Amino acid sequence: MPASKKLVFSALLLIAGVIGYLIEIKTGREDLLGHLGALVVLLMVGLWALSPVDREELTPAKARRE
Amino acid sequence: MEIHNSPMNERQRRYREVYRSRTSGWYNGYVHAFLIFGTGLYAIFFFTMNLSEVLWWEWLTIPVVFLGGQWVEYYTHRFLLHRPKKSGMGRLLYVRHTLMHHQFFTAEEPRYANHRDWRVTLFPPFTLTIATLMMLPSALVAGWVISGNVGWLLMASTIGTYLFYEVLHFLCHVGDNWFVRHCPIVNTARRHHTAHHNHSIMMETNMSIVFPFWDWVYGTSDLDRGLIGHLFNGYSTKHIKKDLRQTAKTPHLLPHVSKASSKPGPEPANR
Repeated sequence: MPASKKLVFSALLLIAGVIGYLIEIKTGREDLLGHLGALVVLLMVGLWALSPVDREELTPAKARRE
Repeated sequence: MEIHNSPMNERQRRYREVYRSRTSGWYNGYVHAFLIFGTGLYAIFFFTMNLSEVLWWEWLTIPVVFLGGQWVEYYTHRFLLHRPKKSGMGRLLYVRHTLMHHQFFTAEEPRYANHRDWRVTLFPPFTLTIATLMMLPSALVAGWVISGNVGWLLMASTIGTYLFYEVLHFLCHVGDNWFVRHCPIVNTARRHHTAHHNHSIMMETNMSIVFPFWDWVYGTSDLDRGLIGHLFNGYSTKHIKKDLRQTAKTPHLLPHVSKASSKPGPEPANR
């Protein structure tokens, strides 16, 4: 996935985090805010991690030529 | 490193060798698995922590999301991953699945050699993030219109359904052992999915990747038996259809349908 798209998803994830924060405050579950923050961080890591592994596709024909 | 005493042919062996040579040296399957399963389980934990005094009908969200998720999986697999497209996302999905995953793993040799091969089955970690973001609007609406519990259950069930797929697909490609041979659902998924990796039937048979419910509904399974039999078939090849169409081509591209005598589907890796 191109970095530009990941930036868009990162922004959306942060917005989702803010929405989650507002919901937790409204429902009186401030005790879960730490978990919410940790989850946003983990999802952000997942969004950006292992990207360099995604190399170009390898079709059977291409594999035979190599 | 390759599996010793494998029945794979030279073409598959060569493909796996070239594929591995192009994988970054620092790739680690355990890290990849942790990012998906660790984060996914933590997300489910967080979503369910928000539940309170769940009513009986709110629990129904789980089976509804599960079957809906299985349908999305079936539809995507059947009509996107096995249908060649010339450009865009359709082409990417077809190449990554039919031309890469199905070349790396065949019905003759569906196993990983080591953790670095996990890359060929596990989705990229960003999939979990995108799945979470995609479900969020529906969950917000459900939470507002129906109840807060339904909204949280919608999120938890979606991630649970995704992890269910990842776990089962992962177990379909490990070597045979006592657990995968005897665990219900898992053993069924292994035979079902290994049969799907047979190149002569992969374009239209066993299109539910790991849970054959929708194959039973749409009649695209290689088994001729009822729903319960489908879900708990295990490794048995007793009920395999005798008139399976053998074609490695995309069905809608064929000018006519040719029927060939059935070759029973392969049994899961039992080596």
